[in-house]
Amino acid sequence: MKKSVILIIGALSLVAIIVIGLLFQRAEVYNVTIYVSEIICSGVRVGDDYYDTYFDESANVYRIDNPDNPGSQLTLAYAPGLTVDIIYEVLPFEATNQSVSFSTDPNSFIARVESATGRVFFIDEGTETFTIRANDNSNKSARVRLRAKIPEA
Amino acid sequence: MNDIKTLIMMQLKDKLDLGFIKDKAQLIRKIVFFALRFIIVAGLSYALFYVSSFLRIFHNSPFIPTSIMTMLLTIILVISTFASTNDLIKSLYMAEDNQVLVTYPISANRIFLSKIIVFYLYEIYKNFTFTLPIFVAYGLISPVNWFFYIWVFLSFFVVSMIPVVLGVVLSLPGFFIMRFFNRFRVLKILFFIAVLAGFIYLLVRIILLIPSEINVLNYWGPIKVLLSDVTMFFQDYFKPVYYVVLMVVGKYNAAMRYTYLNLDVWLVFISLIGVLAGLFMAAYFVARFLFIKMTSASFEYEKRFRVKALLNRRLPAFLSFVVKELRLIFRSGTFTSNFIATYISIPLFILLINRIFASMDLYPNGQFAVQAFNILIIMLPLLASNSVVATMYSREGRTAYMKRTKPVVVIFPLLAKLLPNIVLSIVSLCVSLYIFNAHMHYVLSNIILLSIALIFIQVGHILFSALLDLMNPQNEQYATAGEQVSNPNETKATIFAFITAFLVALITLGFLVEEQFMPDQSFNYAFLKMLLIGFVFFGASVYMYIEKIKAYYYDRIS
Repeated sequence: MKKSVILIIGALSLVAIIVIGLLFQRAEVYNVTIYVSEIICSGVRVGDDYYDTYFDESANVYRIDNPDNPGSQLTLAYAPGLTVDIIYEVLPFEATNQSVSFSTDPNSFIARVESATGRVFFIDEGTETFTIRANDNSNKSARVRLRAKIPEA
Repeated sequence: MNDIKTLIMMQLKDKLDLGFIKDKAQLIRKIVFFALRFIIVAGLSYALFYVSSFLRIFHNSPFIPTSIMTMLLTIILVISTFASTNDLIKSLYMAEDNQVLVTYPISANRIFLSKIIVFYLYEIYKNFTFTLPIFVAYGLISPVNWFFYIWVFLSFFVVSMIPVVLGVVLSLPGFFIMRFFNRFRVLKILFFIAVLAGFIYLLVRIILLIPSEINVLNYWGPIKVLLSDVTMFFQDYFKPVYYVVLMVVGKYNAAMRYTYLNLDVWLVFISLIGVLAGLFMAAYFVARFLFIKMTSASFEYEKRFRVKALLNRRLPAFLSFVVKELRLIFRSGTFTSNFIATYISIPLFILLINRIFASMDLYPNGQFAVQAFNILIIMLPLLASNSVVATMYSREGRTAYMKRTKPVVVIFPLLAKLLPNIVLSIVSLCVSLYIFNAHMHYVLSNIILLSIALIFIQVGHILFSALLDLMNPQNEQYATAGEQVSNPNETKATIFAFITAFLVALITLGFLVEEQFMPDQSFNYAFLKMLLIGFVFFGASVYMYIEKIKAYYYDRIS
């Protein structure tokens, strides 16, 4: 069979699944609001590098896990323009409103965070704590503590 | 250098149709078509990246991570390497043209090198039409440096080397494995069956993993996490490919921009060239000897076949032709694999489609649409695969004329040629309908009526395709140009297959809506009407087939 025929059949099937799914699938009616029960910080991304986090129960915050020494905090190498993405998960996954907001001390000279995306911009070296808060009325939140330091030469 | 250039051009003409270079109008058309293809692939990729970014699929972020490109490039490189290895084994050590090329006034080393360069150029062509546009689209949506748009084109000359060099290296063990299997044909067949069975089993297991309820909105959170994890898997476990991506797009730094002002990027570039050069030189010196040995070996007096004395068994005339056709089919590997691929893939595809639809809770109109769509998806590939039937008689070349000299009814050899396709396609159709019914739960009478109707249409279309070949034979073309023939009958049969499949699906939909038929209902007239239509189509095809045979083989004055 020619490649073009295979492509046409593949594309046709994809379109049919989407169209039939959109036009003829019974809509679910949600009568119950499911609130967020927990927010988890699963990791942070610095450039292309992804780091897992661990929960420090004594301070009630998430910290970056040091891959060389698991269970201890990793200090990020500070350089002007250092940007970190906070990666989070919301539980339960079927929560009605899964959006969250990020915040930090507005007077901080160390870092600031974009409220909607969780993108952290470091202004100076040091330690800063960020809060992830659920946007529904569940009043659930999680805190993440990040530390950046100029690497020793 | 000119001699290598001449050799390369000669071989490229075999691989790519280069006739357009001399014709200005054709050249412009080719360039426009190439540009259009580039824009379409880049545009589609950009649209997909944009949707992913908008929906924040990867790590809840609008940023499309480099790990996505690592995943795509890994898949592309694996497929290209397998294809290159397979083609290189055939082209370097088993090609028939080696015996001609080796007589040219040029060293065997240069012939060997020219063959590899041909593959490299072909790989560049493939990458520039598919992989490169995807990278350009990624650049458009990502915070890349302006230098990216120049560098991406240059770097792909290096990236294209990867599958070719790996192919040269892997072709060495590959050649010995292939030779081993060619010597022990039973083992080859057993191995082929085992791989095929394993592949089908794996596919079925994967398809059955589709959850019984698909509600993307409900499961959006876990789906996003899964997608992010899959891409990270490729970044973590396919580090060499990740470094190649790093070399192409730059290092995504802590300030969230891609930059080439990073030692890693250039270190990867230099290392990649070094590794590829090292691998190529090592493989070149080993493979070259094998190549020279294979090309310089005498073949005129080579004893290729062990002649076995077999008792001549007298079979009925029709059966003799069937046995002959079966032998021909098993001897031609590509022909067999093409048909197996088509006839096995249809039931698997039907399973996949039905698993997806089964997980949707649909309104009655949706149920009608799903049933008609199933008919379309079963019939479309089946009928489209019949386009090969429209070339079957012509493929015999000049030997086809022998049919006229045989003292038998001419319909015997003609029909025997179609029989393997008819039987295999009916089996495939029945398995597909069984899978379809396992999801639909029709009562027995309805599914039997539908099966017979579709079998009539399939066999009718096979006869119609054969008829096209009878009426407009291309034997002379196949006799002179081999397999590379642009056959108008093949195109006509494909177009007719599309029209027939869509018509059958639409008629089914019309009947189902008219009867308001739901799968769990008892006997329904919709299927009786389908059977009638199938029977009329089959009857018309048989009548025309027989009439044309009479006209072309008995009544024609030549």
